[in-house]
Order: sequence, then C-alpha cells, then structure tokens
Amino acid sequence: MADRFVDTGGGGKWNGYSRGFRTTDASSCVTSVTQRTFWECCTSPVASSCCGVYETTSNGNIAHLTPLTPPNKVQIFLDPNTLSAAGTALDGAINDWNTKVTATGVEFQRVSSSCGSGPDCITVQPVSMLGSCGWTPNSFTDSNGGFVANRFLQIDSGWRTWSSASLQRTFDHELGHSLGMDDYSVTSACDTTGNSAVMQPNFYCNPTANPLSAVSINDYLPVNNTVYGGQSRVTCGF
Amino acid sequence: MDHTKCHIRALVLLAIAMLSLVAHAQPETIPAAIAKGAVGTVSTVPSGPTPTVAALLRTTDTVVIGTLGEPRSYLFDDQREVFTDYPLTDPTFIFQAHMMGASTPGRMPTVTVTQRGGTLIVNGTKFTQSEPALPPLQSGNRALFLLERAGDKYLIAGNFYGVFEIIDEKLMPLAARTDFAEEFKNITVAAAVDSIMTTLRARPVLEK
Repeated sequence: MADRFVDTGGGGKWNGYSRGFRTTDASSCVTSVTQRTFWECCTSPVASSCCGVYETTSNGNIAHLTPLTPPNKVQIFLDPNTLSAAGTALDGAINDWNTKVTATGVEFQRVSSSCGSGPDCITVQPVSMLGSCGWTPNSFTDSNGGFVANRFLQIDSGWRTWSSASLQRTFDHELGHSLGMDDYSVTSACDTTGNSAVMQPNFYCNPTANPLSAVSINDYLPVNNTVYGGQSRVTCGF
Repeated sequence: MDHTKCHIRALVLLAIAMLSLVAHAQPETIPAAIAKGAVGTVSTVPSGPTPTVAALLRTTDTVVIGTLGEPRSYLFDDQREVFTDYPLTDPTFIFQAHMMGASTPGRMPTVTVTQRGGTLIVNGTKFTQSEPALPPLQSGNRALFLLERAGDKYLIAGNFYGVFEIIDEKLMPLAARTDFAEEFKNITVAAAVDSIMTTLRARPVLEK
C-alpha cells in the first residue's frame, strides 16, 4: 500500500507540514474500526486516500475561519423570504458542527438579515449547478490562509425537492470547508459509499436520498486537532 | 401633502436599505479584497453528483479538438474573478452551434478557451484564484473541449468538466472529480466524437 501515498502537492504547510497524513507509527493510532477512515490511517504504511485532506491556498496554508472573540459568532445569512424552508436543515448542520468543534472557538449562528462584508459572514445562495448539490466559491484568503471577506455557500436551485437528509448533508459538507477541510477521496480504498464522513463529496441530493447527515469523527477530529489544534499532520493520532 | 412626502421618504429609505442588502450580497471586488490583505481565493469542488456528459452537451455551443497555446490571465470586467485564456492552435471543429468567423479573411476560424481562475499581479500583489475542480490547463497539451459561449468568450462547459486530454488518441477527463465521465475514460477520440455527435443530434434545441 505504500505506493498509494501520493503527496497531493502544492499545499498544506500550515505549521510547516505537508498536506495529508502520513504515518509510520502504528502504535499511536486509534484502532477502533469506526475511526479507521480518513483522519487517522492506522495501517502503516497507509493509503493517502484514507486520510483527511485540507483546503489549501496557493501558498500552501489551510483556508480557515479565524475564531471570533465571544460572544461573537460566524453568521450565516439565510434569506427568510426565499429560503426559510431550508432553515431546519441549516440549523441541524450548524448545531452539529457547533457541538463538535467547541474547542476551536468557531461557532456558527443563523441570521435572518444580511451579515455584511466581513469574513465572519456567510450568505446562502441557491444557484443552478447541473445536478451538483453545493459549492463554496471564491473565498478570499490572506497570506496565512485566513478568510478576509464575506463568503457564499451555494446550494443547487432544486433544493426544495430534496430530502431533509440531502439538504443537511449539503450544509454540513459546505460548512466543513469553512473549517479548513477539503473533499475526501471519492475512490478511497477504505470507503467508497460517501457515508463515513460528511466531507466525502460523493453523496446524492434528491427527494429520496438518505446520505450521512451528521458530522462524524472523521470530519471533526482533523478540524479540532490540526486545523485549529496546531498539531502535526505527519504523525498518526496527533 | 405631508402624507405623500412621508410615503416618498419611506420608499427612498426602503430603496436604500434594499440597495444596501444587494451590495452586501455581492462578493468583494478583487482589488478591494487585496486592500484587506487578500492574496488569493480558494474555491471548493462542487459536492454531490457530477454532471453527465449529456447534461454538459445540452449547453455546449462548440466541440473542438486542439492544442493549448500560451495562457493569459486577466481580471474579468466586474473585477470579481480571474479568467485565463488559452488560444487553441490547429483547432479541428467537431461541432459548432454558431459559426465562428475568421479573424482575418481567408484564414481558418480560431478559438480561445477560457478557464476560470489563474494568477496575475493586481496593484502590485500577486493574486491567485484557485479552482481545484479543474487544475490549470497546460500549454502544449492536446485536448477535446466542450465549450459554452458567454458573450465573446468560450467557457469550458460546466465550468470545470468539459475538457478531455488526448494522449495516444485516447481521452481522459481533466476534472478533479475522478468519478466524472467514467464512460469517456480511455476511449478513442473517434468513439468519443461519435458518442458526442449522437447526443448532440438528439438535442432538440440549444438550451440558452
């Protein structure tokens, strides 16, 4: 399996480490089967496709929200006039991430009026996406990877026909990008179902789809321990 | 009269408030973001199912095979995006919904492929718009392109999907999502063109 590790290149040197996990130290790994995907790569040598990956800027830093001073929160504007039916799913995703990344200092909050032009403002927009579910386009970052301006979380304009799980998964996934995570491999040697992490992009959004719609340990542990934990991504188990 | 004035004032205030809302719903311009310390943008790869090739072909204006020339990156007119233009050398047109004119009478038509993203200097700052859904195209590479016309530009269909590199007369999609267009991987150019043309002939009207 060693030959499967491919440094994705060009990215991930926040705190000086390369993108993706690599380990030769199996002793530090958690051995629970449920925790063996993505973030912690217990088998050594390991397939890179099992590892969490980070959203990196052109100069190799992790793109991320900067924690705010409490009680300030990262605001997510959902237009109550046109998108109120998406409120429950967005609230679900917000609560899900908030309870699992408390250590980061980042906390999301839904708001019903425009939240301005600062980096702590995300606006939900429906757009036509040729059948894709969601997208977070063109987020401005500074030289450290911190977001510097308001951002947009786009969902496909057909969202009203989706199941609630489809919509919440889309919100969960796109909010994970705000926390520094990139898409996990869709051809993972560990999992190809898209149901081990909300950061797997290969899920369906339609009236009957029932994708994983809860943030899993494969999602939040890399956020807590690396993006905001400042720890190494080159050793297993942090 | 006072009542009317009051109404007008209320309408003006409402209009100002709405304009403010619209302004806030816009992304920053790149020069304004640079003034705040931005050095680039990151985008994600669209999540969920990837489009089918048939879906891309519903909005495709031009299908062309050619070799990528030297890129030129620039700010789009609204200054909110970076685009990169690649002229195609030796283009072979497979399909054109609208005939392109030659830039010089007597010469064959040319085409320039426009990709979202790129790197350029803005107000003295090196700025990169990263679009990981389709890594920067490489000049000198030969590919089959599905293109959508937008004004005077030919954008890659589906933003990130309508490019298939040709190596040894076989195709490979260049989109980052490896689950896109499985049926077009490693098929011959001739087979791909047959499949594309069959789909295009069955297309009732261009959806634009």
